[in-house]
Amino acid sequence: MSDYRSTVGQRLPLIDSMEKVSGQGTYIEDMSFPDMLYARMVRSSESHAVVEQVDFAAAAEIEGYVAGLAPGEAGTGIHFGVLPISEDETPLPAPKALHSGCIVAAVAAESERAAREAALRVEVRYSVLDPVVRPRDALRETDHPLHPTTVAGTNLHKAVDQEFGDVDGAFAEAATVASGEFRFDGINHGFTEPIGCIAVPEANGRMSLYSATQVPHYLHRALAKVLEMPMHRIRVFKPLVGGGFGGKSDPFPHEMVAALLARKTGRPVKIIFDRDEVFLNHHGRHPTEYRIRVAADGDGRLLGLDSHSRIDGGAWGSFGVVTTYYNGVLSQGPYRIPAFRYSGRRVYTNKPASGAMRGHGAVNARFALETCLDEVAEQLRLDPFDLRAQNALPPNTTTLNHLRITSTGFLECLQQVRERSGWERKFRQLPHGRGIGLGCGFYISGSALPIHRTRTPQSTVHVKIDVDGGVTIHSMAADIGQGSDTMLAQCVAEAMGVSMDRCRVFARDTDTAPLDLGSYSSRVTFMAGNAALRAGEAIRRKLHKACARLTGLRADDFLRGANETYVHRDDDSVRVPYADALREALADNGALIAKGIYRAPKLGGSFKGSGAGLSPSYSYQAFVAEVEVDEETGQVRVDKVWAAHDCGKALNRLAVEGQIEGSVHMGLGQALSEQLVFLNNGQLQNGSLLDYKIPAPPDTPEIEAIVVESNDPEGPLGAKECGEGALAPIIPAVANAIHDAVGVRMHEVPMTPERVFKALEKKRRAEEKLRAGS
Amino acid sequence: MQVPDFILRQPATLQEAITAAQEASRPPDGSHAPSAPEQGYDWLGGGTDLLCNYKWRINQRPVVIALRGVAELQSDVAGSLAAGRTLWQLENDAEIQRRYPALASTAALVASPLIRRSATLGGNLHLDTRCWHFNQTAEWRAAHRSCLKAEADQCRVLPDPGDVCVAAYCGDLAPVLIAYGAVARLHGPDGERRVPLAEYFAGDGIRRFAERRRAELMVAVEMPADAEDWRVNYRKLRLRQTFDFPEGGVAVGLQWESGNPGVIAAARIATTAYASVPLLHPEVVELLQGQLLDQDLADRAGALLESLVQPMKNTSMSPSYRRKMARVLCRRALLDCSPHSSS
Repeated sequence: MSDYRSTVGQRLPLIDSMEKVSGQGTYIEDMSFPDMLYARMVRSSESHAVVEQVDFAAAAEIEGYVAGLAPGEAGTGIHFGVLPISEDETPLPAPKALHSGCIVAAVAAESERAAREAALRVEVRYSVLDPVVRPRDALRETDHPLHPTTVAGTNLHKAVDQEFGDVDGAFAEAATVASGEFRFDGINHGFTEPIGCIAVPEANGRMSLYSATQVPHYLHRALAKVLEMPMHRIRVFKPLVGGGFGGKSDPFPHEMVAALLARKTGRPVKIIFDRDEVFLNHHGRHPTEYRIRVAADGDGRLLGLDSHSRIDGGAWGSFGVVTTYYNGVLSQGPYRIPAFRYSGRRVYTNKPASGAMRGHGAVNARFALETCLDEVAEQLRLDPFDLRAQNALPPNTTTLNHLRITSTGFLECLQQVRERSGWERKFRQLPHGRGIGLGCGFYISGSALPIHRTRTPQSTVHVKIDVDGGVTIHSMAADIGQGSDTMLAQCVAEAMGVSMDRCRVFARDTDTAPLDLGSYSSRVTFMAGNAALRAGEAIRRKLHKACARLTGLRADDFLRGANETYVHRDDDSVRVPYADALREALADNGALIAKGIYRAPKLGGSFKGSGAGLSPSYSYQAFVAEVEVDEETGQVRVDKVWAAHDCGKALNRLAVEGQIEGSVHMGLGQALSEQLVFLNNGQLQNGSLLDYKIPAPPDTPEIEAIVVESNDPEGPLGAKECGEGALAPIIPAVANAIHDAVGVRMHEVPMTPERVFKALEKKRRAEEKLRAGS
Repeated sequence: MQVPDFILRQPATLQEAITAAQEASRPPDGSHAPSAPEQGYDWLGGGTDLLCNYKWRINQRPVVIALRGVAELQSDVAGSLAAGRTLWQLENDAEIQRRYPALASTAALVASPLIRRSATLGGNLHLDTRCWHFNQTAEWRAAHRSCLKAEADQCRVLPDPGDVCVAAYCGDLAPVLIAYGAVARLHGPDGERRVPLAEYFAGDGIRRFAERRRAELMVAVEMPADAEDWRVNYRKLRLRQTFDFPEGGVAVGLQWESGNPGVIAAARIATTAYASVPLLHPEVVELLQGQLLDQDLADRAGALLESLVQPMKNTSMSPSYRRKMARVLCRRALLDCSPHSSS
């Protein structure tokens, strides 16, 4: 019998945490190379304009100026983008600048100071065009669409229309309908480490790019396209990354500019953005207008959902096609919805591009749905928990849009937060001004379809062991602070039955690591974790063969045992220490290598857009927030949050709780204070961390992170995602708590004091009118 | 983000500081013709505001005179608070907490703990005015082509501003010190003089001090002998519980009739963030004087203050909301003063 003690479910500090907190970790800003130049971007003063001429003459007078890069130069007009269906970005305008603050040229100099001075002196001549700023204006025909690929001479980028079941019939027979028009401001990821990269032209003619990126592989592809070099001549290196949240999941123009300047000068070129440039680079959550109707019968059974989304894509496509789909299709859970209609429109405007951000595509739609469900419960005098529980998707089922549902811990999430929050004695019973609210969620655990059509596995992990007994793990899964390196080490160690401290993870270099698609769509634990487990198992089988040679017993009969031993299934006195097994395995053979892969199963229907939202599994959430509303100021204070998340299995409880807490904090920012504000011409007004209001520690409530485990049949050791799904539910939970506290429904996010105050004034006026009339 | 080059002076005495300022404001040809005050230099207290502005290339001066080493600015003399005191010291000093509790509690509302470790009393009082069209990067301002206070000759806040700048004064301490009746002690080439803080600020978002003279600096803030007899309270409007400048701030100071606590013998009302200088509101004072402080009086005072303040559209919250909140801030600050209030 095996007496192996698993690490699964323990609280494991991330393997790079000491490196980071001690300051020894290497981020892009810490790196430099001999003869390195510093580049500064020249940014557009116009929201929409043809760049006629760039003049570096005055810049060249700055001591230390080396080179400039202007539109029209080789490579600057080649299109790239993260999705092959909307490759609409170029390193520099070709020929149009598409938003105020977009990159129009660049200078490289011997020092950062010289580069800054030079960039300020570059003169750009524009031929100005009218900007399109409001999404509704973007749907009109125009002589100057932002991109030649738009729909029918407008600035419409992507239209999605889906309908399943008898939607009109559902609404005709409904006992109650809740509806609303919702508005969401754009928000930025607000990661800690500003964006940056260093391009290094190698002596052998290759190009290396060191970049703070979530997607080394997509960056690798885009560089090959722009530099017109084969991929094997390019190397992408990802150092430690100080947070991404989707804001580093596209290949970006500045990365191309660095490489082009490096090629032009023959010297390494470094770019580090200031914070305002991070806001201008953006690719964050889309500003959204969302219209929704929800139909239910008299018992609270959901009959139909009808929703329309108009999302503001800004200047480029980015992940926007996916966002357009996700705004609809991810509303198909965690409830059974028998009739479903969705239309989505993404438009281009002359503003910084929107893209993917934690909870990508699901967050704003989720807010609208969860708010309406609260209204349905209110209208039918049902408890919001009961309403949701009776509509919960069961395990092992399929949604209308062919999402395959396997494990679900949704009901347990509901039960946990209901009990722990003291819901029964609080809901509709707290004193006026205090309230409690529920919000739920559902999210993909990795996108099942890769972005590029390919049969290559989505994740491959290599493991090597040699005479030192250490376990070397190679992967291109991108640790961006979420702890994926630790997860890889844990999966491999767990599969091998050895201590995690033997593991060293090299997930940073496309020259040495096997392909992984990167950190987006909350895919890494599920996909790279499965690949790592399989790699670890493959190398353990080699060690078991060595055990067999040493004992004369069958290799298949060995199991993992305590203290790094391999123990015989039937006789636990037969034990082979790892070191002995390794020595035998290496004899006449040399270092052991093994690999594991993960490829998502074939899923989904055959209708147009059927690939969107497909995932090998889904996570579930139920959150409760308790708030206090100051009726005189509209200020909302969140006092406590209970957040239950079904992550399948918590491989590392510390990391899961950290993800839940981080998601709640980030979601509270969108809920209450964060918003990008634009001037009428599209210029970003508040691109600084003083004016863009991320909640600070005193604004952050106590968060009770509750881990629910549904043991997913296909997840690595039962695990599913926990990095993204846990963001969305807090926002409607707060809104529903505000309603419980003071009786107003918030339809605009963030729910700033001013907006809550206005809603309260409106309610007071309506009540006065009613009194006057009666 | 990099601070642009400047010449750093680090005087050790008040006299050295004044001499450095005189040298910096002297025209380059060496003549002694008077130039506009502050044209050539900035005083640097904690640097938490000034250097951020410099990084954004906002009105940087060729010479920066750091005051941290000036002995006379570091230690209080009887009845006064040295200008070089950090906000952290004001917040945590037991004697200030006892004698001027509203000053200590207001200091704790400024910015963040980290910033309060460096920021000084003098620096906070001289905080540059702020505006959404001004506190931006050089590239942003160039694209926006606006701001009288920066490079441009037009203003995006007022359609026809003439040459008046409406940037908002956002210091938290000034209204509170005004409510205590504090007096600024200034030192310059012609010696020392005293100006009540209530009269110190004047002008618009660019010209902010009544009679600021060349090479003159604030040495200390004198607290009047009767300051401890005043009940002072300050309420601040902001989105987050830390970091943020006030979007509105109301300080009230009340003195009770002798033997008759609750009846207002004298009052001072000062606001911040509603104009380019801290404002006094004699109309509200007049309403309060001789009255018993109760809910109704506080309501009326708040309503009157709401009608008096005229915030501009140049911070993150709307002028209409900020004005309405003046009423709430005022009422709450007043009621907190009442003899039965815990604060």
